[in-house]
Amino acid sequence: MNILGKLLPTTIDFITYRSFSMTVPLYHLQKVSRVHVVDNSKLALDGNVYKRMPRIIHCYKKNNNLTRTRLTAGLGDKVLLAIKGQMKKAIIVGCQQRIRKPNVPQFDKNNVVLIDDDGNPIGTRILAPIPAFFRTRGDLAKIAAIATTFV
Amino acid sequence: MALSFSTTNKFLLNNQQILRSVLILSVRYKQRGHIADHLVEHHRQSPLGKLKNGAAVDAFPPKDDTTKDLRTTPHDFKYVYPDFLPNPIPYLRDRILEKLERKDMFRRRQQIDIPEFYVGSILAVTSADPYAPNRRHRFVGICIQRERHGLKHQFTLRNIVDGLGVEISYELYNPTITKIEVLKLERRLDENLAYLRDAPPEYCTFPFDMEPVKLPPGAGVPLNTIQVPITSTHWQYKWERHDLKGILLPSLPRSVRKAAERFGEPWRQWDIMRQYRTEIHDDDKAEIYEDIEKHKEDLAQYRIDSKENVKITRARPKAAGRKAILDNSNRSNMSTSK
Repeated sequence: MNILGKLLPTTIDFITYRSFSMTVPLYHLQKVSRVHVVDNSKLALDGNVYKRMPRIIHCYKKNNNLTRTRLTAGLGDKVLLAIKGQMKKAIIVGCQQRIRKPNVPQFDKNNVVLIDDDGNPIGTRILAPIPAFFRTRGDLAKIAAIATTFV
Repeated sequence: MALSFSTTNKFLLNNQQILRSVLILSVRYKQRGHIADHLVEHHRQSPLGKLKNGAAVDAFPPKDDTTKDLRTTPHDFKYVYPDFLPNPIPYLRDRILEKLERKDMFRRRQQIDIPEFYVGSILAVTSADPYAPNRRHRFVGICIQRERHGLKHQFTLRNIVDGLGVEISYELYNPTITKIEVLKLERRLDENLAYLRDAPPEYCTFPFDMEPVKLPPGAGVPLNTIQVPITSTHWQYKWERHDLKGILLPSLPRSVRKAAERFGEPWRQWDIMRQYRTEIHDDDKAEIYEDIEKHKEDLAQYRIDSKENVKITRARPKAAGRKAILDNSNRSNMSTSK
């Protein structure tokens, strides 16, 4: 039994006595977070190779109760970026934060798509896969329209 | 207990003084004699220790037999159905809830075939998506972890889509999941493959149109002894500290290795009490196993009785509808009025 236990580690053992915490650190996006723009617009292509990575400088987020939620941004939220020395609005299209909701994916990089003040994306194509729930929300429909792959 | 021996005559020790000296020595040893755990372990492993203590040092742990065919796993239900196992921490358990959840889990398993899979298997999960063109959303990936007990059991699939790593966490008993297919059934050397995030992308890229790999019937679950190199410059966790068998670490600086040794707590493998605490009691396991066996019988019966298989034949004539009753009453009224 002991030998079996060594060859086949049980799932229980790993869940309760993990020596590293598997609650992923809060990889949410906030004010100084650096992001990667996945547009094919000129500003995106230049901004990605500029001396400073595009950064979030403000998160537009409606919150009714808690003030804390205003400081963070996740998938589908509108943010203000500082990109190539100028300010531009954008929508978060990929986030490293793990959201415990069904079918909501978690990406390896923090991706962002540039939009103008009306909410229309500036580029004509998105070069990365997009979460599927972008099709459900009306305010993200314009981005879903120019997306290539849904995850 | 401060004592000074300067006043006493060493050559004239009485019983009380002898006792006191022994006590002092023992107290001082307890105060100052605490040897750090990693040092104890170091001495236990030392060649001198081996010579003195005999076989105690080398008897356990067993050597990893890579030549041995590790294909077969015991088809014990705790490996096949880890979602049915309860929380090993007793004060977090609610037995009535477990029983009710198990009932719901069996009912769900009647509707959809939830296959046997392990961490390291490649799955394709189809879930209902009302806004997709064909109303279904399919994702293929390698299972990197399975967590939580009971109805909340989740598994995470990882894949690299268009060069971007994506992980989706699914709840096994979520009713919006319409199909779970196991494209490749296999096990890995670790129970948690989070290190794939820091590995080269070819180790977690699986095409979405992957063909299912069929195993010969009666074969056990194959064990993939692949050693994944960790090539990323920034690691999410300190992989060298956790006894992960399925990775190939790069050469690390000495300080890092020493810290890993200290963190590793290698004496834990002899901690029987800890092993006892992590395992589920046999009585609980027996109860769960009984329920699973009963479910299997019920499932077989359900499949026979399900609507597609059985044609409903009416034993007695259909009950009269409202119109027929009214007509009857009209006729009877007319007859009585006449």
